Amino acid sequence: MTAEELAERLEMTGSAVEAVQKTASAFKGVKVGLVKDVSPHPSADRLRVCTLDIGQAKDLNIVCGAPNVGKGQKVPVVTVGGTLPGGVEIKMAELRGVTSEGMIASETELGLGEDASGILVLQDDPEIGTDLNNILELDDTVIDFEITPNRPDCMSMIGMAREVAVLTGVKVRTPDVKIVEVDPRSSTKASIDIKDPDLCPRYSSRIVTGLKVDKSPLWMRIRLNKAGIRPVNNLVDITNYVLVETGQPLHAFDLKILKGNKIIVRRAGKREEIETLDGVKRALTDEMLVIADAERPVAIAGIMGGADTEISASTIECLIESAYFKPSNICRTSYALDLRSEASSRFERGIDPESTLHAAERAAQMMQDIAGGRVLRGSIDEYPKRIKPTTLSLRQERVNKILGTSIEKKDMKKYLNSIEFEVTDGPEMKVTVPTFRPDIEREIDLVEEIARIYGFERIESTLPRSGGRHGGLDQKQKAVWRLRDTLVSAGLQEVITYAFIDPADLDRLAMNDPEVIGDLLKLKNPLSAEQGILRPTLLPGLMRVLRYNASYGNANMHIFEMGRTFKGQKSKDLPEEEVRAAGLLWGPWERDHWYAKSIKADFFDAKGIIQAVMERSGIDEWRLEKQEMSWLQPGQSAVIKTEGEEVGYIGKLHPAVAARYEIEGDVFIFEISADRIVGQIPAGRNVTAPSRYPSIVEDVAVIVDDTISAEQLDVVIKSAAGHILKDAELFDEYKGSHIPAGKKSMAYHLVFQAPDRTLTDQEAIQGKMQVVEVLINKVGAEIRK
Amino acid sequence: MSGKVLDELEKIRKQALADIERASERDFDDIRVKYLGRKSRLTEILKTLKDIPSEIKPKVGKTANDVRKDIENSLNKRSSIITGNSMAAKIETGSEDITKPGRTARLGSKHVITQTIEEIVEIFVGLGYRMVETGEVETDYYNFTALNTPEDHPARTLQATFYLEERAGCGDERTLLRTQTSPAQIRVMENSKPPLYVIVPGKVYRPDVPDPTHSPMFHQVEGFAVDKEITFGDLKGTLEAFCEKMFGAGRKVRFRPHFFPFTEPSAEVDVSCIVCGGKGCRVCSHTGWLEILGAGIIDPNVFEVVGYDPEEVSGFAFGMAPDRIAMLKYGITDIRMFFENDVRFLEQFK
Ligand SMILES: [Zn+2]
Repeated sequence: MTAEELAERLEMTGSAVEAVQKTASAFKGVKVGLVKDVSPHPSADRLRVCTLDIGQAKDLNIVCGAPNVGKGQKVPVVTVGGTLPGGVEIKMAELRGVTSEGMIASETELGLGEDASGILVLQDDPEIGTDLNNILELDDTVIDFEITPNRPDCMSMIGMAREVAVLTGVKVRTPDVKIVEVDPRSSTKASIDIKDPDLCPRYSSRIVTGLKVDKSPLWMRIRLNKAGIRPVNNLVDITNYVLVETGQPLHAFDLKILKGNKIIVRRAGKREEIETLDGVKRALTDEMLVIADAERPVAIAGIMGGADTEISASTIECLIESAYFKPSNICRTSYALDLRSEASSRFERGIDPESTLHAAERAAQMMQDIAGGRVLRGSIDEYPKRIKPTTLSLRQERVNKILGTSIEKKDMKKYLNSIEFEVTDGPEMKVTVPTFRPDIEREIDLVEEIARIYGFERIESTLPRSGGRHGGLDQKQKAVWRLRDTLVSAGLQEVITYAFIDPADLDRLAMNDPEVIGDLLKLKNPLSAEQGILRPTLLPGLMRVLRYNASYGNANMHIFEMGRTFKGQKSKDLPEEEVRAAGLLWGPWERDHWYAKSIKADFFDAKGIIQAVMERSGIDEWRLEKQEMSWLQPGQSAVIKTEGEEVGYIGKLHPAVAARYEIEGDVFIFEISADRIVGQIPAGRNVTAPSRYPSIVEDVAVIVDDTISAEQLDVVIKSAAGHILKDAELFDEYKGSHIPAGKKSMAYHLVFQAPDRTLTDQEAIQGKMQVVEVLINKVGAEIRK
Repeated sequence: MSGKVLDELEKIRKQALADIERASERDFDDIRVKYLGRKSRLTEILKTLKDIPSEIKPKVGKTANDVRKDIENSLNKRSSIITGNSMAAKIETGSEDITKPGRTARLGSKHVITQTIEEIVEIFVGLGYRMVETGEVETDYYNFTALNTPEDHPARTLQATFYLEERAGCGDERTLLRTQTSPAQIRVMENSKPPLYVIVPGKVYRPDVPDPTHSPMFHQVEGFAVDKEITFGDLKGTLEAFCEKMFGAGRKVRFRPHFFPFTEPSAEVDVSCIVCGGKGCRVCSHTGWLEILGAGIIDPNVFEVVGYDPEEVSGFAFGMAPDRIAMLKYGITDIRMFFENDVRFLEQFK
């Protein structure tokens, strides 16, 4: 199986793969060579001539300047034609009269580490002639998994190996731990006292003495690098290595610095402090668990060690901590201190309480093997609060009912066994969950395990069988969608802006009246002050869009937004949310065309859109009522009223507001409550059959006072002519020459029609005369000839 | 006798054809009356045919009819030539440059996200789902607690959720901007009984600093079904049907096990890449798959919260981000473009 295939198959059993990355050595043609002989260079004191066996028929002669080269060593030999990192090719060379057939390389030259003091001497007796890549596992593949929060067990090599085992049916083999114990007993060196077993059910440890802090062996450093961990020194590296291998976070205390040779696990005192490894002094509370010695806290349990007891170059004797801490407490402390670490991220999700001792011993063994340590006899393992494995009931039919499958009992057993769950048969199966799976607490958790191992892809796709459902949008939802359609068909472009706005925008708009904006809702944690409050109006969003587009040289804008606005309500848990629609017109309604020149949008373009909205909604009774609003220009500012209530406003943006937004030219806006308009929509419509008889159109033009509104004239005209007047269309308004100052001429098409017969010209003319008479009498109109 | 009639017919023919040859458009009616009318000589001859001796009757009859046909034909021919000429003249002067742009009304359009949401909702309406919309400000309870999210879950922190300031004119409950549309599950289930087939579109919020793949405000469409015997197979079938409608026939869909607090088993759902069809390309990071949905069987804890018996009913829930779907569908690489509202961008989705 290739790494890619493995990654794909793991993905299908629930281990999401973030990336599959190839690692590669930066060198080529490097082989293991045995130094068979070293002799002085005939003409250079600091150089030597080495004879190297690299598994070929003929030994190589290589000139070497490193002080540490010696007979019998196994060393990396860069052969002629091989390359070093950076692409430097090694050639046959002559060094002061001696031919050198290659090069013996140092760690630094191979790009493996920082040691440039001499050549790299290979450990563990590798076979002569082997390619160095094969020994160091440099050409490798690293699979990066996204571990979901429910699977802390997968945050380790062993955990992932178990997942691989499920796929392949191969058994997981864990490293053997072989320790040679020496006297004295550990318990004579230190004691462990768990004061708060509710927060620390188990604390295991091992003590290792005679340590020599140094760099770790190359293989370990290479492996840590691949796991994304920077090597530090052998002791630190070992704790990290075991963490990655087992998932158990470890901490090593320098025993010499531990006061009273005591480990006390307790809640912190109220005013206690600790300086952590990162050099920050942290105030603790009595809800936080610490590891203390006889005098002071030496670590924040499960999160980070203290600076004082850190392992140093002079550490000789250390106590390896391998504990289990209560996950929720680690989580809370880590959150309260805003401090996260590799350790805390594992403890807070729950590690395996049964493997703490194993991890301590694994680390002790490695300190013995590679750091010169001697492991003291016996472990110290306090386990006051045993965590028992969970046993759950499992019903076969329940599994199949939820999944829509017919999996047999024996297969369920097989699947659960493959992930190390024990199953006892019976009418209901009893499943014992290993302690490394803290996420499995209920029957449904077992259903999920069975499903993922069975394979989601094998579950047959069906559709719900039930009848009795009826989908769709309800009348109000449809009305809201229709409102949007109307605005689009009126020629507006929809925009979507953030629901949080800059409070300063309300000042810019002069929209400060609490009556208008209500109780503002502030965010506790906005991304910036400019996104600090929830919008009480859609206008700020539209203005931002206008300004943004104007800055890009757009000459006109016809936009709308539909969305929720927010107002606090003292008496309720939640604020009032209202769905609104707002529109903005700026600049020419149309561009210059070959058939017509551009016309600037004005108030009546905006009003026309409201008209369309009302017409589409079937709302006949509505009108504009002039009202001043601080953000609108007086005289072109009105509220929109339906029979029932006020549903919005319309007007020309106040020039002072436009100036504050650096917008030139007139801006026309409207903002309506979709919720209220939808609430006003009548159940039906008044539909009349069109007349089958022809209509007669008579024109009339009157001169009236400028103060008389079109609406007033409309009412007068319609009251005058009786039911045969079908319509009065204002087709011309004129002021100027031939019309006295303070007056205007208004011209109408009067449309006469009867539902049941053909009108005579006489009747139409009579109707027109009635209209004229009433206009003269009621509004002092003068007839324009 | 016969010769005379035949001569006369020949004369009529000759004269008529000569008249027609000279005629202009307005003369046609007169010519028709003169030669073919009720009172014309030709009609008269045809009428009196019965009085002609039987031996010459066939010949005279045939000739008279031939003459009549000749006159009609040449009249029609001449008339079509003349009217044709004047129409051609009209047509010639009426030629337009049809490559000039047409005269249109302003064409508005819905935001591309709205279009995507409507498309998704309509597909589920077709599958029998009803639409529900709930508030964007939610309580901690509906957004997290009732959805089986532990108290100390990272999603509840200030780094992952926008909270409202306590005062803020609200009651005591901790209020926040919903981070998901899932609270609607609880609100719907609290207020109604199964069977439930519901689709919930809406805005959601998370305090992510805007970058090409993050926006503090984005959209979600949540869907859920609760009924007597809902299975994981039903979830698969439903989402496969959706993907086929949304992305076209022949799409492959795969379900990968995943984890969400309020569903179990949970899955992430991938659809075969809509750009490369599964061969692998930059958009799908060369995997051939695009992740577009999260889904799962509703956790029994959620049912207990709303007072349903998890032994009696079961359900599935799923959620998707229309913003992401629109990005994939139109090859948009930066989510911020949706909320910058550059009209030059938006107007491409008429
Ligand atoms: Zn692709």
